[in-house]
Amino acid sequence: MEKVERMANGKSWKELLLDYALYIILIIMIIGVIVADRSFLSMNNFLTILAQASTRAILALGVAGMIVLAGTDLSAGRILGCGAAVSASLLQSVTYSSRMYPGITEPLPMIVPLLLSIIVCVAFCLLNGFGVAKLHMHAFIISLGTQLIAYGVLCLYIDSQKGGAQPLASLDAGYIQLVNGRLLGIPHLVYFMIICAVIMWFIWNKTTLGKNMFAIGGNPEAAAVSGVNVAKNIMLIYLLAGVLYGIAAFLEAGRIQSVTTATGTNYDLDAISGCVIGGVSFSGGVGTIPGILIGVIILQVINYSLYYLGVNAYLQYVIKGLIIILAVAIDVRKYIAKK
Amino acid sequence: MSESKESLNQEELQQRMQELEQREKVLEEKESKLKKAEDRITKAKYNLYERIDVSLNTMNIVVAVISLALVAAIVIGIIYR
Repeated sequence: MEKVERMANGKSWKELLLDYALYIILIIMIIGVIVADRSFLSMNNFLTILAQASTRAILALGVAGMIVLAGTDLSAGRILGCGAAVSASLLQSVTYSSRMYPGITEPLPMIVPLLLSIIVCVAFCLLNGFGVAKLHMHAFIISLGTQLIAYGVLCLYIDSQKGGAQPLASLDAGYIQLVNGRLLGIPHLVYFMIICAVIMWFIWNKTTLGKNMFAIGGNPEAAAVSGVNVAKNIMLIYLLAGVLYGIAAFLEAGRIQSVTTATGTNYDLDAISGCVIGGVSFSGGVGTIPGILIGVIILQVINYSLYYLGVNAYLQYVIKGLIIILAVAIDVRKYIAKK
Repeated sequence: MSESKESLNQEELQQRMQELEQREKVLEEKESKLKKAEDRITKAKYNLYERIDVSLNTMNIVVAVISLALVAAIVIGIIYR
């Protein structure tokens, strides 16, 4: 009887149910939404979800590197906020009288704010990387401190405007078009996400850095004995994350078109949740790029579904928290089952 | 002539036997060093989930309870919107 109940891969129905509990619940929820309102299935809705998920996906690609290293990054959201503030402040419309830099009378080339956003984000990430690689601090602690520093810097920057702390809005039309435009009906943001994902897939799977990242995440001691320069590789992963945060920040500022001190709040939790749902293991050394993208998109679909279903906004936090806990619990269960 | 050839062969054989013994000694030393390094790696291995001293059965119950809590939260959210 037991033999009959086992699937071809040797797992019982009970084990499969537990391993995929999260996906089963989410699929049922999405089906429920579709049944309640068929317009949820429209292409426009799907593209909107993808566009919203794009900047979070790019952020998640950076955070995932740290999770694969058996760490985390709680400062990703605030760092993105800083990058977005820099981008937005430099790309405000030159006709806007209350812009932050009245001295800018001609629209800047897009590459300048993008590079500055990347530099700002890389600086914060290298601070995290230094703490982890050289001082052997736990990523949780150092990123917690960096999160507060980044938030303080963001608030100071926005408060430094002549008229006080006001949203950085009225952005340049060309910038808005670059970020929010569509090509062949698909938002530009989706293309940017795909380009970043392809590059990251290449780095993770076809370069020495990627292989070293998985080796360090799996077993740092063994990696060191095998000749991997652990500290240098950790710093490189953090640098790469900073570049991705900078790109995500530049795009997010253009997407939301108004940057405030609240920009980036909880983005890191969404990024981490997306990674965990997508199969990046907190034990380190495990993760795939397609998994991360799927995880982020699933999370965005959940957000959208809960909004569509009219679920109380505060209860949405409870549900998202339970999703993260369930994803980690399933990961732990799989690890114990493998042992 | 054949006697001298034989003695040469014997000398060669002895030489090779000595070389073989030396190589085996070196190999034994390397193996013991490797074993010590392995032990160090195994003991020093840090893994977040290694510290979790919970049985599979307990984790099954934990996953089931959290899943039910999630379903309950979604249902409550839909009913009391």
